[in-house]
Amino acid sequence: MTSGSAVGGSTVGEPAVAGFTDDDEARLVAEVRAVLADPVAEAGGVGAAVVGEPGLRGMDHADLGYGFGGWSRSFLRQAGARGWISLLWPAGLGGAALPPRALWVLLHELAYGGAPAEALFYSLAVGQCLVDFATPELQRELLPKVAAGEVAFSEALSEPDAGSDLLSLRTFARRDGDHYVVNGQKVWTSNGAISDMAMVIVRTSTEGPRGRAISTLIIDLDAPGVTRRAIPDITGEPSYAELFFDDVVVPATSLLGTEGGGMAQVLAALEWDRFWARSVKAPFLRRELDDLVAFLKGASAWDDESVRLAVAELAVDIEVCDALFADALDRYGVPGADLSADAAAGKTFADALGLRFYEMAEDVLGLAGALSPARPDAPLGGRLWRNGLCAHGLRIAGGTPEVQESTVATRGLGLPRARS
Amino acid sequence: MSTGAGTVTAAPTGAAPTGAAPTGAAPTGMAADELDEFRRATRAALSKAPRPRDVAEPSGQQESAAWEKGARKALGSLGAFGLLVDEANGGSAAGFVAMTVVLQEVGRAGVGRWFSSSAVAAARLLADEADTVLGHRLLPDLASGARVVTVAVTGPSGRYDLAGIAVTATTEGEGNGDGAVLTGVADFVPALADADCVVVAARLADGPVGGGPVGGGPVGGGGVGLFVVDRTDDCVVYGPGDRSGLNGLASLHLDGVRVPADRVLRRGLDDDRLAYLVAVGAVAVSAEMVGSAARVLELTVAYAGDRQQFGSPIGAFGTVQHHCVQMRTDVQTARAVTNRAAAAFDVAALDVDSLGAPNPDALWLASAAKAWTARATRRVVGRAHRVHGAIGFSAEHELPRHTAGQRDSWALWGDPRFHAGRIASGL
Repeated sequence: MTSGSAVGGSTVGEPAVAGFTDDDEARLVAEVRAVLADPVAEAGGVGAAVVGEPGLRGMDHADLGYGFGGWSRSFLRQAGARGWISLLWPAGLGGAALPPRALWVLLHELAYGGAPAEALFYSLAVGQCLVDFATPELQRELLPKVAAGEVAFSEALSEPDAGSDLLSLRTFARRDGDHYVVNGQKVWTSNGAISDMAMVIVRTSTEGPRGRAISTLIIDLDAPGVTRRAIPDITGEPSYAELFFDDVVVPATSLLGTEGGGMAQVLAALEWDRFWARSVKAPFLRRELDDLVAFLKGASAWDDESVRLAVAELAVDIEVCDALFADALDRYGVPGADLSADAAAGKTFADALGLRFYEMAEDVLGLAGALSPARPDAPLGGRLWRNGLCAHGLRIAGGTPEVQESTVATRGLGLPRARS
Repeated sequence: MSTGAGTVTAAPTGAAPTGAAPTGAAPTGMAADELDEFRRATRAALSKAPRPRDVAEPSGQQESAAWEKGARKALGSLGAFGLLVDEANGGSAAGFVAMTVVLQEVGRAGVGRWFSSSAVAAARLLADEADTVLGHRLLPDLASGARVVTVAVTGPSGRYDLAGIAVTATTEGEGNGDGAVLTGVADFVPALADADCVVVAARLADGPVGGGPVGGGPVGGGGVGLFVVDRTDDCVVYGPGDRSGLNGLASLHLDGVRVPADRVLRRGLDDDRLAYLVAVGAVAVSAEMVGSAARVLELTVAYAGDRQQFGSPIGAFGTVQHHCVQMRTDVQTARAVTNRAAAAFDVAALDVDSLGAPNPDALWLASAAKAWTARATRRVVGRAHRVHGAIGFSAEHELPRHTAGQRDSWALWGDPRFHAGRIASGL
C-alpha cells in the first residue's frame, strides 16, 4: 500500500533544520501539492498542451528528454510567483535565505508530483551561479527576472570537439571596449532552442594554461548573430540544440565573475547539477514505481512472486539513493566541506539507478513495456518507454560516469591521477 | 499500526509524510557532534584492546581471546552495552543512532561478535521485562557488559518467521510451578560461545506458560514463548569452529532442558514482535557490515596507493580506480541507508513495549538497509580481493577476517531475498 508522498518515511528521525521548521516544511509541502493539483487554474490557464497522463501536467512541450516531468514556461512563472526560484538566495538579493533543506523538500515534492520542472532546474542552477559569482550590476539586472521565472536558461558547455575534455573548447569571446564579440559553436545544449538565455563557457585568451583562459558569459539567445537548431533526441523530442555564434555582441557586464576565472563557475554549475538534479531521482522514481505497481496490480503480473521481488529490489535501491543524497545534504553549503566527490558519485549512482529501474520495468512488463505513447493503451501512457530511453542520455549529461569516476578517485579517495 | 507476518508497510505513509516525522530523535539522543565524539572514543577504546598480530594461526587463539576480552572491557567502559537499556536498569537509553556508531566500530575492528546479540537483540527482547524480577536480574549485568545474553530464534531452516522456530516447550506438569521443558534445535545462534545465557524462542505445545500473557498466533496452538537458558543448563552447543567471522553462528541442541518459571519472559513472540525483533537485528548486523566494509575500503585504497607495478602505484590505473570508486559508493550508500533505518528506530519510544508496537517506517527501512547492505558489502570484499591480489587471500592479512564476517552476516536476521520479500508484500 503506497500513497502519494515524496519525502515520506525518509525524513523519519531526521532533526529539524535551523531556519526551516517542521511547520514551514508542512506549509511548503501543502503549497506544492495545491499547485500540482490544479496547475492550469494556478497558471491562469496558461498551461498549453496538457498531456493526458498522470505526472505530466500543464507543460508546453512533452518531456524534453531528461525525465524531469517536462519543460514548461508557464510552470516556471508559477514557481517564480511563489518564490520557489529564490528560496536559498540571501535576503539582500531578494531571496528567502532558507537552508538547503527547503529546496530539498520543494524539489522532492515536485518530482514525486510529476511537475514539469525541468526549466526550473536551469533557473535554479544559473540563478545560484549569479548569486555566487556575478557582479552586483549583473545581479541587479538579472536576478529579479530570474526570481520571477521570466527567464528560461540553458547551459552551453559542450562543443563538437569538446565533450568530456571540456577545456579544449574553442568558442572565443574577444574583448572589444565595453563588449565581447563571440564566435563559435555549442552543441547538445539542453533546451537550447526554446530557452531565453544561456550561460556560455567561452575562451577569452589564447595564452597561458588553458584552464585560466576560460570565462563565462550570460548571452541572450535572441541576440543578432545567434542561430539555433533543435536536435531531436532518442525519443524524437527536441530536447537539445546546436547554437552558432557569429560575431555576437555581448555587453562586458554580462561576464559572470572574472575574465579567466570561468572554470570555477563551470565546476560550480556542474556540481549543482550533479547534486540537485539527481537529488530528485529517488522521489521521481518512487512515483514511477508507485504507478508501475498500481498498473501491475491491475494486471495479472502482480501474482508472480518474481515480479514482486524485482519491483521490491528497485524500491530498496530508490530508498538507498535518497538516503545517499540526504546524507550529502547534511554537508551541503557547510564551509570547508568538499562535495565534489560525493556529487560525482551520487550522480553516477542515481543515473545508473534510473537505467536499472526502467530495465526492471521492461522485464516485468514484457512486450507491453516497449509501447510508446503512440499507443493509447501503453502502460503509464508510454512514460516508461520514453523515460527508459532518456535514462541513457541522463547518464551522459552533466558528465559521464567515467569522468566522474576519476573525480571520485582523486578527490574522494586521494588516489593518484589516472594512467591509461 | 499492525502488520501481518512478513508484511512491511511501504515507506510513504499517507497524508502527512513530512509533518508526521517526529524530530529530535530519541529524547536522550545525541547531537551530531556528540555522536562524532562518541565514535572517536569508541574507536580509541577498541584500538587499545590488545590486538593479536596474527589472529588466524592456531597459536594465536589465546591472543585472540585476550583481544576479545579487552574489547569487551572497552565497550563496557563506554557504556555501549546499555545504550538500549533503560536507566533504572543501568543503561542510558541513548538510542539506536548511538548504538549504530558502536556497531560500525565493532565491525571495523573485527572484534566483538557477541556485542550486538546482547546489546541489541537481547536488550530489546528484555526491555519488556524492565520492571520484573527477571529483568532486574539480567538487564543491569547486560547493560554493564558483565553478562552476555544472546537470542535464539530460528532453527535449522534458517527462516526468520514463526514457522522457522524448531524448539518446543512443554509444561513441566502439575505441581512443578510454571516452568517449561525445551526440546529441539535452535540454529545459527550468534555469539553462543560467548553468551552467559540465551533467550530461546519455543513453540508452546500446551498453551501459555509462566503466568503472563504470551504471544498469540496459531503455531502449535499455543503461541511462541521466550525462555532464558543458562550456560549451566544441560544442552549441547555445536560450532562455531575457530575460523568464525564476526558472528560465530552456532547451533544449540536442547533435549528436555528444564527452565524454571522465573526464567520465562512475560511476553512471547507473535508476528509483529518477531518482525520487529528481526528488523532490529537486521539494522544491527547492517551497521556491523558497514563498519567492516569501510575498513576494507580503507585498506584497499591504502594498498592501491602503495603497491607499485609497471612503474607506478596500481591505484593510478583506471581499472583499479574503478574498483575503489565502486567500493566507496557501496560503503556510502550502505552507511546512509543503515543510519536512516537506525534513526527511524529512535522515533519509537524506548521505554514502552516497543517490540509490540512496530513503527512501519522502521520496519521498511530495516529491510531496505539489510537487503542493500548485504549485497553492497559483498561487492566491497569481492573488489578488495581483486585489488589486493594474493596478499589479501593470506590468513595473516586483515582482509580475510572481514570477508568471513561479511559472509556470516549475509543471512543473519534475514538475507536480501527475505527482506525484499517483506518489502514486496508492503508495496
